[in-house]
Amino acid sequence: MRAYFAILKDSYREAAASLVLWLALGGILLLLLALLPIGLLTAANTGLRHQELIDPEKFVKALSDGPSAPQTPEGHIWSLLNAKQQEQFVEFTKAEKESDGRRGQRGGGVRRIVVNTVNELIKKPEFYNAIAFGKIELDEELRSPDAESLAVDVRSHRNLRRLEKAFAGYISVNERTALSLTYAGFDITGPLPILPSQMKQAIDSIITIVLGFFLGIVGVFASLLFTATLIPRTFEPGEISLLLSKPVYRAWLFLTKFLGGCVFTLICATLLVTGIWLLLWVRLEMWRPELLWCIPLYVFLFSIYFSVSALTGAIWRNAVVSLILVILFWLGVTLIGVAHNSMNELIVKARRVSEISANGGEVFAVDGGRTVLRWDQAIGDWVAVPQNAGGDQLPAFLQRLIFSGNRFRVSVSSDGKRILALQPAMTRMGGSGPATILSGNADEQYELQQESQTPESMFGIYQTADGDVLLPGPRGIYRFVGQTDQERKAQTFIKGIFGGLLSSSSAKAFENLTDKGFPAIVAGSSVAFNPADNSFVALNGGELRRVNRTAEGKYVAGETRDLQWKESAILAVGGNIAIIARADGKLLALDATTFELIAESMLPNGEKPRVAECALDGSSAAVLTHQGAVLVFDGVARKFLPWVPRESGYASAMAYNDKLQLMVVDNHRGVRLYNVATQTSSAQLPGSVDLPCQIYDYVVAPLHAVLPKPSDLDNAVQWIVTGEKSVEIKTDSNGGNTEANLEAERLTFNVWNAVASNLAFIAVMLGLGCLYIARSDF
Amino acid sequence: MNQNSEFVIQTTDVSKTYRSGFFGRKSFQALKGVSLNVPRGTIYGLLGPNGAGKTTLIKILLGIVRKSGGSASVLGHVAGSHAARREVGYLPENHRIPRHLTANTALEYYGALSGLSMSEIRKRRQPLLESVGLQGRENDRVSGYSKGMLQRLGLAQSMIHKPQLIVLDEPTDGVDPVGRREIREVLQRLAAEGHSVFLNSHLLQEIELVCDSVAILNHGECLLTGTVKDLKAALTDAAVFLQLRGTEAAIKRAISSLTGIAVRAVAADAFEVEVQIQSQPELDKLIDTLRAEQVSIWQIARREKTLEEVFMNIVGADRQ
Repeated sequence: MRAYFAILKDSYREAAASLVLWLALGGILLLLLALLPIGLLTAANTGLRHQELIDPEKFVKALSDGPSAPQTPEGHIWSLLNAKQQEQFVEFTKAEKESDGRRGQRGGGVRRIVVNTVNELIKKPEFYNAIAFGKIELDEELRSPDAESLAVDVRSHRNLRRLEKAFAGYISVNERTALSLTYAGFDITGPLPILPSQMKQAIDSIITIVLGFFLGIVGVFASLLFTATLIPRTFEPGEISLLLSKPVYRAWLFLTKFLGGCVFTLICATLLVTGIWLLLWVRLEMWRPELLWCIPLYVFLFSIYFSVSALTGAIWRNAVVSLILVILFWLGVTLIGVAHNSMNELIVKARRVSEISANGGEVFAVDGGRTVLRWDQAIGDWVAVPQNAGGDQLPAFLQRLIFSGNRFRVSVSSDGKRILALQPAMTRMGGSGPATILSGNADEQYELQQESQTPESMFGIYQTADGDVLLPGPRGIYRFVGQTDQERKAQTFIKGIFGGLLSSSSAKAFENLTDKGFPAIVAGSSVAFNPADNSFVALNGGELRRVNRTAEGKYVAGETRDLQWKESAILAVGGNIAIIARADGKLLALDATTFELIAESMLPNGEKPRVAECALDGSSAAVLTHQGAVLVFDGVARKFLPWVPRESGYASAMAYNDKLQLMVVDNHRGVRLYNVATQTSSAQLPGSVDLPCQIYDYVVAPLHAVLPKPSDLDNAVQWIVTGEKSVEIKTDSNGGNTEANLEAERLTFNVWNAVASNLAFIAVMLGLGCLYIARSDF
Repeated sequence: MNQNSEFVIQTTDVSKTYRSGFFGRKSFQALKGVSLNVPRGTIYGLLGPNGAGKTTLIKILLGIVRKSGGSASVLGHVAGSHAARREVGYLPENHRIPRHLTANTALEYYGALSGLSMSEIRKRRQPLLESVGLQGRENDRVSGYSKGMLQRLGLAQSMIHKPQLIVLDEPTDGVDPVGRREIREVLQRLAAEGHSVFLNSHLLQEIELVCDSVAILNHGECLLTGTVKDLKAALTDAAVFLQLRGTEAAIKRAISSLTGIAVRAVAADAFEVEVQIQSQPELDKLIDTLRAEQVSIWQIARREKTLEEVFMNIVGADRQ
């Protein structure tokens, strides 16, 4: 081994003698020195953050109603607005009525304007008026008038707290402190528009970008330029003859030279990553030793490209040819990666069944393109349900992205004759807004028609066995009583004129089944319907709350239990079983009445849950993860089963039918029905797979699987930095719920798959190199 | 194989065919059954014109090129095996020592590649560098070395592990006359210490000065092997050089019975004559005849051929 260590040592010497290395190290040091003075300053919060305005619609509406009540905070604040601002706010309230999905995309801008206006107002000494805020419950400090000489920051902080008290339903200040970015002790940003608790997330993103750019792109290219000559030079006649005359094995010589070539990257990556790690530790007091894993990771990334460089360098013994071939390889794998991802996003996911539901002998599914499908027993395949949604529809890909956080599933009536779905919309203010009910009847081939708009954003739509349509919302449980013929005709007429741009909520179409004082179910809760007793269970931040149905058909708040956790979770209820799947992978089976724990388990490999479902009678329950794994709970044996359906690992949807069978959809459109009690498959619905999907399955995906995926290693960096194996593909524009939305489509970091395929590729390249060298004359 | 054999290199019918093009359809036979034995403790020269197959033969002996046929052994081991390479030092033609190294680090590198420990290398490198005349430059980067210095450093690296056999491919190439003399002295010292040296050089005078034995290769075939002395003697033909005084007519009469004669006038009555005479009686008879014709014999000498002339004779004859 002495000889091979000598080669490694020589590689180190060569790198150390290189001007390129010293230039690279100098650049990294300059970058680290430039970052060194950066620090964070924690101070009292002096401004409203975007996500803290939880209900912009109501807030703007309240302010615009201010003139009618001048001695209130609304009236006082309205009077502080200038004419232009007042006009703008009035315009917002009018425009809000025109909400539809597309307008919602501009909502972030409106929210920004409102927040910025408020932040300007709270700096003013006249913001606080003791008479206007007289009826608001304020503590002694806030109640006493501010001194004229009070610093602006202090005044803003106080006024912000007064504002929050006055508009408790619309504004929720998450944290009393704010962070500012400092450079050499100087505040350079003022209070940042993120919560201190979100700082880690923000810094993680910055680290991922910095490392990705400086090591993943610049570092790899610089290293390739530096090492392009290494192997060809080794195989020049004068050098290789000398080396091969020594008692060394050719293959080992090649492999050691390859490893030696990685020294350059190792040195650069070590300096940059260690520097950033130290900066985070010393300057920001963030202890992140896991960051150091990025060093071997970037060396690994470089070694993928260098393996190509080494092989071509050994064969052609020309640095320029070697470099050109590496760049071509880079372009090639990037193109295949892009083709794979594009087909996956635009074609495969759009056709993949993402939701399934069945009742009364009818099976319905929703694919990734949000097309409702019905299983046609006669032809043995899925048929698309026609949809008369009105207006221009967004492309399937965009719909999936924009409404990723809203499940679009079909509720089937117990006789299978009627289907209902909630079509989400976004408001001009940027939040999730009222949805439109779509309905279809068996008599009309289930063609989906737009019904009324819901009074507010709903958690779901459910049909009871006796035909009631129930919609749980933040302010109560609603019953959809349908439109009158007159209303329907009027809506059809309006649609005809305005192309579906306008739709309105019909107050008569919905009946709130809860009384005044019903505790709100906050946004971000997971709400489940129990068809056994028509009750609801809501889960938010570890608090479980039952909403019971009375004999009169009203809904009242029932038992609550604080489970003492803060993670996001999803919930399903059936019979006497409630199943909870937490973001950290923990599964809990509870008694649906008493909320007592029955059993607990964990999802495999830290996966995150996507769907939880319970059989109607609670005889079993199942959880589907974002990676397609299915875990089953036996409600009779009251334990989680080691048995899993054969589709587990690549299932795309899952639900129970009214015959208590578990329906599991494979990666495309095939459905298998399982009897959980016997753990056997009882029937199959073999949905057909069209040509583009077959091309993807049999050509693109295998090619992508076999070829290396260097770009996927960026995900590994994100995994290392954030500790998350998957992220939502859409950021939360609503901002109210900072916890993960588990039902939203997630981008899964298939880190080990990427590592394995890249490792296999390197092994093949080096194997070919060894073989070539072992069989060549020099 | 016997490691104590009297030969350090033994080849029998070694052949090598290089193939190129798609599926190796083009071929070139570089060696055509070369057989030679290199005695232990000698400096053995390998001669031949460009393309004769000398470097190919050396590379086969070191395992850098695989032979197509025949057998070869080095120090009793299969040629090219690890065991053989451990005992061989090699200085390739136009060798390239990485430019970031110094003489010291180069010897560290090649010494370690030969299996030496760092302490052994440190113990050996200074005297070695002194022996090749690189003392005082040991910490300079080789990128600043002249061709001669690089050759001397190459020679040093080939000796760092005290090999039994040193194979040198054009060791004096690019070296000035003083440097050549120093290298010759190193080679002679090595031979005196019992090392065997296998030397490939275009410089026939160098070979003649240092080698005990030689082999002449041409077109991949070994045309001749033997000691330098024997070769010269065997190939020193019947040329006798005479300086004569007398009339041209008398001289011509005296040598009229001989063939292969060249007569050259150097003065009015002075001539130089070269005649081909195989035996002493014939020479005696020629002297008698010249004297009988009143021709004075100023000088008479049998002329020994140089190695170059021997080489040119053999290679020339092979070409014809």
